[in-house]
Amino acid sequence: MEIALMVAGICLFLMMIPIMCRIIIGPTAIDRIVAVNVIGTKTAVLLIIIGALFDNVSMFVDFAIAYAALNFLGSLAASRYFNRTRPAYGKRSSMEVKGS
Amino acid sequence: MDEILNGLSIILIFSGLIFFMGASVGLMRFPDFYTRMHAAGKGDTLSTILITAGMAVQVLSHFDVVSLFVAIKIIAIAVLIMLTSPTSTHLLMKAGYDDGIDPVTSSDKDGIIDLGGPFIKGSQSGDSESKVKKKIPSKKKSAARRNSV
Repeated sequence: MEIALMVAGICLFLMMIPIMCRIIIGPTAIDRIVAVNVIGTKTAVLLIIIGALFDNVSMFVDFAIAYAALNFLGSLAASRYFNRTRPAYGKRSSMEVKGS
Repeated sequence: MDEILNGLSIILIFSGLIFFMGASVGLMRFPDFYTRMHAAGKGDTLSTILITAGMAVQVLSHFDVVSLFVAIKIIAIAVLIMLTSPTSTHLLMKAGYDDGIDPVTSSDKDGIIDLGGPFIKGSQSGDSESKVKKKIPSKKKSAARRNSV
């Protein structure tokens, strides 16, 4: 059972690597925020698996709840910020350059 | 009984890993912001629910009061993520749509469809009503130009 949990945690970590690549190369800012949101959710899951490996789930579950709630608040604040203040490409968008 | 619950939890966890692999590959390889958001939202939510359900079953496999409460907390994490992940996906999608991120179309030479977000025609200042008033004639003008060409 412990071997299965360890394999699951390692697979979860290895599948985060393409999402890290998306954070690095993502063309818009909101791509990066989506990738950070996915990684935060998976970290909350990985904390539960780590707690089961340490035989101490009752402590790590609280960390996972706090991490999931803070992750949601972070993505909410970022989406509200990027909704009204600035365009997503960091400069004026390509459509506007084409239209003018 | 113990082996049955352990097997069930292993099946749930690895099916969740399969869905997360779908989300990861989709987030890496899709060509567009909206399709990437589609892959990330659905695969992430479903895989999180499956893996947390598997962990709850695995905690419940040796049953006492403490493990019952821990399983209730893990199910609470699953319900929290099931509520919040589509909400954040919806808000980020709305933010990207308002910023005027261009979707990939079939005619990708010049084909960027005018979806009409408020930042498209470059009205950065002023309140939203002036943006709406400004947006309509510029849209008409671009449509007229398209027809004349």
